[in-house]
Parts: sequence; structure tokens; C-alpha cells
Amino acid sequence: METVHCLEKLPNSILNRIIDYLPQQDKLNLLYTNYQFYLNVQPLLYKNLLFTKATELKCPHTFDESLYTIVGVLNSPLATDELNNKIYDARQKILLEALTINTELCKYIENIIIEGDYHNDDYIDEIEDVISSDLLNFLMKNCLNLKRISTFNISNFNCIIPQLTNIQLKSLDQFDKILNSKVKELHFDSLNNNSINMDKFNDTDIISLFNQLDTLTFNSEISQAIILKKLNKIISESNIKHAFTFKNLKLVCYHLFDDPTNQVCSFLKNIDFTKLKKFELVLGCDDMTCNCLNNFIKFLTNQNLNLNSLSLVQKTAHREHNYTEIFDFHITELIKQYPKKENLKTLSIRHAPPNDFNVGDGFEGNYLHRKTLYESIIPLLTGLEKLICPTFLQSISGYEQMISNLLWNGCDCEHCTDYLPIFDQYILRHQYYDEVKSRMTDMISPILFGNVGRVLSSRLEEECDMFLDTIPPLNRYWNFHSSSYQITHMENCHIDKSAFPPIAICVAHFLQEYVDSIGSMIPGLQRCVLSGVFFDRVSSEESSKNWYCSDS
Amino acid sequence: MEDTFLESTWESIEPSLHIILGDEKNSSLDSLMYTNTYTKVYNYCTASSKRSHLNSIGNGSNNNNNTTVRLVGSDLYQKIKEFLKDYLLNAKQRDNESFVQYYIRSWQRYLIGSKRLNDVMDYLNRYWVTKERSSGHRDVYDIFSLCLLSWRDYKFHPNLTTLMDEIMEQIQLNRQGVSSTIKDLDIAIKSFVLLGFDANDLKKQNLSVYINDFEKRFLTDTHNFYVSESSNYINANGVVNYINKALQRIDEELKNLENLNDHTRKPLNDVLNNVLIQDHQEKIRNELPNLLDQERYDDIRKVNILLKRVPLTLPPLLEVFENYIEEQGNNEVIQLKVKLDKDFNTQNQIYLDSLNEKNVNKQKTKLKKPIELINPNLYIKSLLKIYNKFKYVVEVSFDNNEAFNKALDSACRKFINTNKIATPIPRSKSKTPEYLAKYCDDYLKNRSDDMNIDEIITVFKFLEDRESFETWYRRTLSKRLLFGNATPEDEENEEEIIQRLKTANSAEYTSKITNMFNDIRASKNLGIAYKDLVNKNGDSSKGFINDLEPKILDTASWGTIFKNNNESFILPAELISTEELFTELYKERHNGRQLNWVWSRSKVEIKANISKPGRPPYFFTVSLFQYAILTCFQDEDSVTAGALLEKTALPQEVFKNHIIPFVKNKLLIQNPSGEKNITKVGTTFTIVQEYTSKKLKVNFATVKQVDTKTEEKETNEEIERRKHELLKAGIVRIMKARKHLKHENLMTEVYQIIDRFKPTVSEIKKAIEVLLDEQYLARSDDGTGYDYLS
Amino acid sequence: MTAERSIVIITSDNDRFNVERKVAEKSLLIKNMLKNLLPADGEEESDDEDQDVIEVPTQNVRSAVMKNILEWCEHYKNTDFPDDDQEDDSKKSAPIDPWDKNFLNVDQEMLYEIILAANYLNIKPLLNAGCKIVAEMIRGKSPEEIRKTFNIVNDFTPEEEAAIRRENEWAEDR
Repeated sequence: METVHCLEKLPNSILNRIIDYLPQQDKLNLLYTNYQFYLNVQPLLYKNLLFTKATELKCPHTFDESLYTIVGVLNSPLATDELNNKIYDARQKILLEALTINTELCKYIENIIIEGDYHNDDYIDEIEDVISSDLLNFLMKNCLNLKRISTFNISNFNCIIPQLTNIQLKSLDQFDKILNSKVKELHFDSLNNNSINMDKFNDTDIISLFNQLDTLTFNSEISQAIILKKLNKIISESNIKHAFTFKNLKLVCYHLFDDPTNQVCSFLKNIDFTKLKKFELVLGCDDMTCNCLNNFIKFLTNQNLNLNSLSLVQKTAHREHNYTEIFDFHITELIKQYPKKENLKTLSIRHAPPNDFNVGDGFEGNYLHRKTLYESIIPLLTGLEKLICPTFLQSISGYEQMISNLLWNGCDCEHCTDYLPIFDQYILRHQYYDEVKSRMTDMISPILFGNVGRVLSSRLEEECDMFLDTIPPLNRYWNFHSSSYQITHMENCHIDKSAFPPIAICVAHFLQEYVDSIGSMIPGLQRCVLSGVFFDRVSSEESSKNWYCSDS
Repeated sequence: MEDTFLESTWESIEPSLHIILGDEKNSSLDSLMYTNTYTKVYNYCTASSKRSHLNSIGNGSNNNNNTTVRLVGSDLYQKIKEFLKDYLLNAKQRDNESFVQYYIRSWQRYLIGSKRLNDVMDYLNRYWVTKERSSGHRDVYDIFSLCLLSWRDYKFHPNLTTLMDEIMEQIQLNRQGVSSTIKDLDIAIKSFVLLGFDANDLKKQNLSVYINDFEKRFLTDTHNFYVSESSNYINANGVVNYINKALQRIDEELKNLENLNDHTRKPLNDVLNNVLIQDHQEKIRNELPNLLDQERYDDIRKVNILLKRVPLTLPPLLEVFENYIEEQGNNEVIQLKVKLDKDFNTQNQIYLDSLNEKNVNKQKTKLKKPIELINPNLYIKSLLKIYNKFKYVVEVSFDNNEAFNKALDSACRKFINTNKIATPIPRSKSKTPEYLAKYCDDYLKNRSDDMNIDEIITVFKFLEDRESFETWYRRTLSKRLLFGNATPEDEENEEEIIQRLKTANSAEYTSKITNMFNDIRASKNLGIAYKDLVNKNGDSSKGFINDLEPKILDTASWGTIFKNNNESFILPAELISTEELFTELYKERHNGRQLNWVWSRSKVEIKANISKPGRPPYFFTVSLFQYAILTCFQDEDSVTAGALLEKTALPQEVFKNHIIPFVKNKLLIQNPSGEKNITKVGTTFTIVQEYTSKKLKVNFATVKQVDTKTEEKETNEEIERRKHELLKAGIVRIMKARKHLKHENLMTEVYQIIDRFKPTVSEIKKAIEVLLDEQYLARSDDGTGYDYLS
Repeated sequence: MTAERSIVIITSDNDRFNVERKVAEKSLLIKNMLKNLLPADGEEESDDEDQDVIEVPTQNVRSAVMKNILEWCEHYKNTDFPDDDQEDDSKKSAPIDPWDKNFLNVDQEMLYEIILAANYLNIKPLLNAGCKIVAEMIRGKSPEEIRKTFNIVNDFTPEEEAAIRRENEWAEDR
């Protein structure tokens, strides 16, 4: 055997593994070095494509950047929209040209994500706004190994082509197309057409569809009710016990008019829970006195669950703090009773704070009560490696006293000493439209930091929280003005989106305290993402320098 | 260059592949051979071929596959594929074994070998196979699946018929009780399961091979076997033996299921149920009456166990069961009737004979003319006998199953309400409620040991006409309350029955009965209050009757007591002050209530100083009317009928009925004698000077009672009235809510809300007519319904 | 299972390492092999006294590398890694474990040998850590710097280089 080795001589399988860990630009740089690397890098460069008018968030200590190759805009936050659009168009043209000349490249493309622009929640993009139809049509026609085309924040796209194994279903009209298809991951989004008669589909086809699925997600309780009703009916009529082997499952348990617990539970009785690895639950019940979630949680924790990843989502936003407290009570109860806590590696919890971050009676007691609830369960999760709370900052923003501390009694590092006064000035000079009071009101810190939290959270855009760690985080900026809140300034104002990275750092410094405390409760925790701010543990020693933060 | 590397690799690993999969000598695999093979495969796969420099970069002039990096493996994979084919085609059956034995033996070894081969080829699996499959090559399998696939193609499919024939032969032999010479048949069957997998996802089990190649044939053969066995057996050995056989067969087959895939459970059950049960259900079912006749309850239990496997066969069985009980019930009643008729005829004959003898021998005691009466005790006992008998059957043979209890109840309801005794004339009103009320009466009066409340409630629950029962019950109760001397124990029993009736029905149902009790209690208190009042008056109390036992009864509950209370009557003067004092007391206590005196029901106890000298005085119990008559003899010894009628103002008939006991018992001497002379104005009655009687207490109040016929008539009239009122109230309630209803809808709703009896159409129509007359309702304009008039 | 048999790993240069089964089984190659060669409860063979010791020849790993590999296995002997690597894709973006990073702080040649051995012995967590280390070495370097670090010879003609740049320009991160 040879004992002298060099990178080039490693077997292709190992080289591919190494290349797979490289961020986009590093893949390119390696590709340029010589012909062998050109051949080795290219399939992996083209494998996963993400179209977005944003840029990648740099994560030098982790390998998130390597997940997708981004077709995007310029890196600088100062680049104008106009310039960015030009660049974006040009890049798409070059890509199309390359694919047309060297059709071999098309074979490499397996996953495509198209992300609509983030418009402060005012509206979402149409597909034409994000990708040129020439390119899109070319991809759909020529990429025969394509497994997935997913869109986020895009209203009018619905693509089902035969080669896909990962399908977002946006209308039940298309349901017959996925029967007898190769689909393994199926996502039911909010459906456009809910009036379809499910009985026209063949029972055996429906059962075998669900049997072949690895992933099933319901993103709307309405589509879920239609599908589960049909499925439960088939199962109860056929009298055969099924054991669906989903690996990933997302369900909505939302008590709006009808209590969904029975329907959901009779569906869950046909699942082989030992195969289930990722589970996401959207929970909600707007009746304070109702017992449905208690019953559901009791049912669930009696199942043979052994999850890697659990995601919990609060369905409805409430001003009344009692509701959130009840939600927190439910999920902490779920975790307390959850059988194999030590095997849980990833946990995500998403709250639904009110849009204006104005929690009615948001007094200290509520904050402390919730904090105590979570402190009682976090140490139980001994095997946890990842904790994701996309709405952490938004929730804290509901407590004006807490969030004002950030601004006025916050971090005294050089950065924060420089920048915090600027944001203090910003608050003095701006007004916003207060929905409750129905009039323009002086700016307050909850509105500022609540919005900062929202924008930071949108660094990770996925329909399902359980897949948040499968896409690379993106840079998002906010210009500190918004039409939906009608934030306006009184005098001339210099604040624009270039002020966003500095405020993100201030926020990160504020959050560090929480991360340290969570980290000391779970020694094995490797990553903590609070409102889109990443904290990765880089050393196992106990000190706050152990965490590498995306914003520093 | 690549080819020679492949060849040399292959050459070095091929011998060990034989050993891994199992060679003739069954050579064992050692770790050196294992890692050597693994290493050779690893080295082959990781040796990336260095390609020559191509000129196709970025300009599409040459798009052939050489520009891409492919993992090495395809050629090796092909070689393994070929090797497996040869290996399997060359493996041969030994002379001394059947094919299925060979199949089991070689499959077991091959399965172990395949797992080992898979692990030795791990590197090929990990990189080349995974990569190929993820880029959509569904015809590339991991080595283990490839082994199974090769087995399927070269060993399994070509020999499938032989294999299945032999497997089925073994199964049939087993069914015929021949112990199988072949072990591990289940291993052969389980191979069918392993051989089916999903080409898209090798990890997902797929039963297609098992279902198509094994299960279908297995089910057909099983079906055919049991079709012939079951019909032969049932014809040769009869139904009862067949049931045992079928149960035993089902047991065996289900036990053998352990060797099959669980998927077969349902279809196999279906086959067994169809062939062994459903196809013979009629014969089995028709055996039930015989088994019941012979009281073979254990066999019946087996019928149930067998048939309940097929729920479809139960309703007809229930029907047979129900009809049988009904028939038994009717027969029981007919037998009783025959016996009673016979008894009556014998009695009647004796009576008739005695009439004839009377002329001969006048000294003989007078025999009463027998009355053709049904003995309620015997009747109710007969009903209960049938119920209890079949209740036991349901418990012992039918698991106390709900459906069978229902059938029992339904049969009982039929024969208890309608039978030769209850309804001698078809469609006539059932007499069972009446008999049950009388049975209760008897129970409460005598409390014999062989009667109990549970029985009463059992029969009661089946009554359709509970309204009749309630009325009859009150009638007998009123007698018990007024004339009986209730002990505390009696009262307890009375209360228990009421409590039970209340639970079986509603509080409203027993409200009148309860009121009757309350009246009696309240009366007692009132009596005490009256006595206190009289005593308090001290000297002035003279002229008042001290010992008054008033009974204040509510008209609505006590019903017929108040009948015929319209006699004219003059209260004897010495009682008037008592009447007034009591009336005053009552009005004071219950202001606004109307108090009516029922003179005809009043009794008086008097001390009569007409004994022989030196003997104690007599105590007479007389009715109030009789008392009024006797007071006329205070001053005179002889009084004419005319004078008595005038003084008492009694109607002639009543007068006659009340004076007869005096005459008969020789207290009064009538002149001229003869019944028809009693009311004649000139007839004189003379009181004896010295009365003689064996008893010191003489009861004259046994005035001729209303006879049973009249009583029945009255009671039935009361029942009709009550039903009519209930119907009217029900209809008004419905119409008030609905305002307008079509005739047939009204009828339906009436049937729904009237639960105490089954109203007939004519009863309802009559009630509607009356309501129309009374202008509660009006016919609607189109004539098809009614409007409610508020 | 009967008395724990000891395992002797024999390297390509015939060095022998006596190891605990739990440690050796961090290698799926060895784990599978033991599963296959040690029949469940007394089938075939096993009457040989020599069989108390199981020799595992590892033809592709030399002693110096094996020493390192076994150190890693010893460190993680109480950690359960899933056998099926597809299960744990969430680990893909995770930072390199500090201990691994320190452990793999060796010269390039040894690093490659450890990676190759991990690949050969099928020790996925170690293979991944090794590959991440190499990826970190590549990160942030220009093509020329990469060539220098890894001794890569540029075999493109200037025309080819221009064509490649043009082809992939859309992906340039600027």
C-alpha cells in the first residue's frame, strides 16, 4: 500500500464528502484548481440550488453554508435594490447559458428552493418576481434527477412533475397526480381548492401513497381535516391496522370549531412511532376552559415516541397573556411527560406573539412565570444538541420593561456603547400606528426590537420548523421603517438598512445571557438559535467565550 | 487496465464467495478470509481511475459520460449478479429429500450467506449502490436484496408450482391428522414474505409475493377442503357434533396462523367463517328449538360461540329464539287455562250435584256456586316461570348477551300482554295489568314466601298498559289502606314496591299512590288534633264524639271511593256537632279546600246494652247508615219501614242493603218477613230485648259489597277516563309546541310521548274529536291536519 | 453470550492490538464481521480452544495509524452512534467537536491516513470529522493558495480556465 498521500489521491467518495462541507465560494475556488477537482466539485455545486434575492449568512465555524448553492444578489447591505435586481437577473442568465451549453450539468441538479422576497410581511412575491420563467421552464424540463422544487413566500406556484419525490401540494385538484407517483415527501400547504370530493380517488391508491411516504406535513388545519377524514374512513372501513412509517411528520392540532383530537388521534394510531424521527406539532385551542390539548398530550406521551427532533408551534396569537401561558404550560407538560427525553436532539419552539408585540397586562409575573416553566424542563433534556426559538426576541419584546433594559441598561462593550444611543435617538424621532389606540404613537422599544426579531427570524425560512436546519441561513436587513406599522420619522432620518447589522450585534449581546444560562443547564447543547441569531458552542469549557455567535 | 484490476480482484475473491454463501463441504468462514475479501472489494472500489485530459470544459462540444466522475462498482456488481445466478442454478437437491425439504435447507443457509455477503460487500453498497439508487437507478439493489432477487428468479419462480404443491400437501396432511415429517415448514412460508420488496424502497416490506404466490392458493385449497369436509361431516354426524368439529377446526387453523404472515388472518377467518358457519347456518339455527326442548344448554352455548363469529347469522338466530320463547309462554298459559277450566268444571259439578242432593238431605252445608275466576297468583307465576327459564338460558348459553336479552324481553312482552288468559278475545284489552295488581295485593296482604317484589317488577317491566296497572293498583291499595290493619312490616313492603315502581317508571307515575299514603298519615295527625281539641274543651266537650277516626282522602287519587256518594241522608242529630267541629278544624288548617263527607264509607262502633242480664254488653260495628237506623230504636222498640226511611232519608235500595244484616242476625225482627217486604211502608221492625250471639263483637257492617263484575267495570271505566285525559294532555302539549301538524305526524308524535300504554287509533281519534269540540284545536284549511288554538 | 472473547486487531505491518470488543465495534466493519463470524449460541465450530481470541486482520491500516484510530475509539467507546448514517443528517452543518479537532491536529499525511482508515473501517463520525478538518483547511483560500497548500498542479490551459470561470460565474459569492 502507498503510504504517501495527498488530497488528490483520496478516493472520490472521500473527496466528495470533503467538498460537500465547503461553502459555495470555497467549492468554486477548489473547482478552479485543476481538472480533477473540476469534475469532482461540479456535481455538488449544482446539486442544491437556492434562488433568493438575499445573500448567505456567513457561518465560518459551522458548515451551514455548504447546504445549498445560492443564486442571489450582492453581499453588501448597501447595494441598492435596483443594482441587486440587475445582478440577480444576470446570474440567472449565466446559469441558463451554462446549462444550455453543457447539458450534463442538468443531471447534477437535485433540489431547488425558490424563496420569495421578504417584504416586512406586507405581501409575498409571485413566482415571476423571483425566477425568470425561461430558466424555471428549462430546469423543469431538463433536470431529470430533480427531486424537489420548493417555494417559500411565493403565492402562485404549483409544480408537480413526474421525477419529483418531494412535493408541495397547494391544491387538491392535483391530488390524482401524486397518486402512483414517486413522491416520498409530501407537504400539504394551505389548499386553494377545498371543495374537492375525495371519494373519487381510489382507496388502495391513497393507502399506498401514505405507505410510501417518508415525510408528511400539514401546514393548514383545513387540508389536514379533509385528508385525515378520508384516510380515517378508509382505514376504519377496511378494518386493517396500518403502520405508516413516516420519518417526518407535521400535524396541526387546532381547536377552532371542531375538536380535532379524535381525528388526529385515530390517525396517529396507525403510525409506527418507532420510525418517526422528526415531529412537528402546531397546537392551539382558543377556549381557556377546554381540555382538548391536555387529552391530546396525554395520548401522545403514551405512544412509543423516540424522536430526534421535536418542533412545537403556537397556532394563534393572543394579546391576553394567559393564553400564551397556557400554551407554555401545555408544551412544558408535553416535554415533562415525554418518554425518551434523553434521545431528543433537536427542539424548536415557536410562539405567536401579537403583531404589535403588545401583550395585554404584560406584567413581570407573566414573564417570570414563563421563565420558571421553561427552567423546569430545559435541564430534563439531557441529550439536546440544538435548541431553536424563532420568536424568542419577539416574545421578550412583549415585556416593555425587559426589552427596554436592552436599550438603556444593556451591554457596555465598545460596540453597544457606540450604537445603542443611535437607536435611542431613533425611538425619540419616530412614531408608529398603534392598532389598539388607533392612532399614531411615539415609538417604543417593543416595536423596535419586536421588528428586529421578526427580520432576524426570517434568516431561516421554511414552511416547517423541523426542517429549519436543512437550509442555509440568509442575511436579512431592515430599513427601520415599515408601511405595515406606518413607522415614520419626524425630522430627517439617517437610519437605513446598513444600521441593521449593528443592531443585530446589540441583540446578540443581549441574548448571550440567556444562551449562557441555557448552555449551563444542558452541557451537551451545541447550537442555540434565538430569533435567527446563531450561537454555536466551540469549546466545551465553561465560559461565555465558548459560544461563537453569527452576529459579533 | 481497469479490466485487469477487476479480473484480478474477482479471481482473488471468488473462492471465498462460495464459502460465504455455503459450499457443498460447508467450509467455514474465518476472519482472515472475511477481511481479505472486504479489503479486495474496498481497494477495487476506491481505486479511482485517472482519466485523460478532456477538452469539453464549458463548451458543450463533447457531452459524453467520460466528463463526469463516476464511482467504480458497476462491473463488479455485474460479476456478483452472474455469480449468484450460477451459484443458484448449480445447487442441487439431494436424492433423499423432497423438494420442500431441500428448499427449506438451502434457503436457511442462503439467507445467512446473503447477510454475510452483504456485509463483506459493504463498501460496494455504501458508495456505488447508494449513489446509483439515489440517482434514480431502481434496478440496482444492495447486495442482500440482490441475493434475494436472484433466489426469487432462479430458485423460487421456476419451482413455484412444485414448492406450493408440496407445502399444501404438508398442510393438508397436517389437517388430516398425519403428523408432518417435515420440520420448519414455516421457514419456507416466511421466505415468501422476504422475497417481496418494494423496488423503490428496499427497506419497506411488500407482501406481493406472499399474497399472490402463497396466500391465494392457500385460501383456495383451505376453502375447498372445508367445503367438502363440513358438508360430509354435518350429514354423517348431525348438527351438534358438527358444531364441535367446526369449533375445533377453527381453533386449529388459528393456531397454525402463527406459521403464516399476519396478513392471512383476516382472509383465513373469512374463509372459515363462510365455509364452516355461514354455509351451514340454517341447519345450525334450526337445531336450536330441539336443543331448547331438550335443555341442552351447553350445546346451545357452542351454537352461540360458533355463530357469533359471523355476526350476520345472529339476527335470524335471535328470531328463532324469540319465537320459541313466545310459543313456550303461550303454551304455558294455555295449559294453565285448561287446568283452571277443569278445576272449575269439577267444582261446578260438585255444586250442581249438591243442589240435587239438597233436596234429599237438607242438613248438608250449603255449597257456594263456584265463580269462573282466574287465579292471579297462578297466572303470574306461569308467566314468571317462562321468563326465568329463558333468562337462565341467556345467562348460561348466550353469555348474558345484550341482543339475546332483548330477544327474551321482546318475546316476554308479547306473551305476557297477549295470551289466552289476558286476551281471550283477540285484540281485546289485556288483563295482565289487572292480574298483576291483584297479585301485588295478595303479596302485600299475605306475604307468602314464594312471592317477591323482584318478580312483580319483572312482570311490570313488560306491561304495555301500565296505566291500567296503576289504576288497579290504587284500587286494591285503597282497600288495604282503609280496611286493612297494616303492620310496620306491611308498610315497609308497600313502600318498597312504590320505590321500585318509581325507578322502573317515573316519580309522576307513582305520585297518586304516594299521595294515598300521605293522606292516611295526614288523617291520623288530624284525628289526634281533633281529639286534643275536644279534650281541651273539658266539660263543654260533651256532645262531641271523642273517638273520631277521620280519613281525609284526595279525590284524584282515590277515585272510585267517591263513586255513589250522592245518597240522600240525614245525619243523626247527636253527630251534627261533631261534624261541625271537625269541619271547622279542617277549614282552619287547610283553608280553601273543599271537604266532602263520604257517609257511605263511615263506620261506627257502639256499645249495646242488650245482653242477657249479668253478661257484658256487646260491641257492634255498624255502618253510619245502620247507626242512623238503630238510633231510631232508642225510644221505641218497633218502628215501621216508612218511619225509618223518612228519618234517615236513605234511598230505598241503600236502606234495604243496610237493614238486612240486622234482620239476618236477628237483632231486628221484621214483620211481615221476606225480602220484598223490607221497604214496604207498613212493615215493622222490632228490636230484640236480649240479643244473643256467640261473639261479643259483632260486625254488621258487612253490607253487600259491590260485586267483582261491577268493580271491574268501574275500574275499567276509570282507566279509560285516565287514558283519555292523558291523551288529551299529550296532544295539547304537542300542538302547543308545533302550532300546526298533519294528522299522521300528530299520530306519530303521540305514540312517541305516550309511554305508559299503547293508545289505539280510535282512542287517539276520540281524544282529538273532543279537543276539536272543546276548541283547543281546529281542523286546518286543507283538512289534512290541525291548528292549535290558543 | 458466553465469556467475552478478546479481540486482536492485526495491522498491515503485523502489529497486534488487543482491544475491548466495545472499542473495536466502533468500526462497523469489525462489528458486522463479529456478528457474522460469531454464531448466535453454539452453532458450528467454537470447540477450538484457540477461538477464545479472535484475530481481525486489517490489511489496509498500518500500526501507526491504527494506534490513533484506537485512541479515538477508546474516547468514544460509551457513545452510541447510529449505524445508519442517513439518520443523522442534522449533524452535517454542526461545528467540529472540539475534542475531535484537537485529536485530528496532525500532519496532513497522517490526517489523510486516518480519514482513509476511518473510511475503510467504516467509522463514520471519525470520517466526517476528518473531512470537516480538510474542508476547513480549504476554506477561505484562493485557488492558488489551495494549490499551494495541497500540492495541486494546475492542468488547465488559460482558455479552459476562462471557460470554467464563465460557466460558474453565476455562483460567485460577491
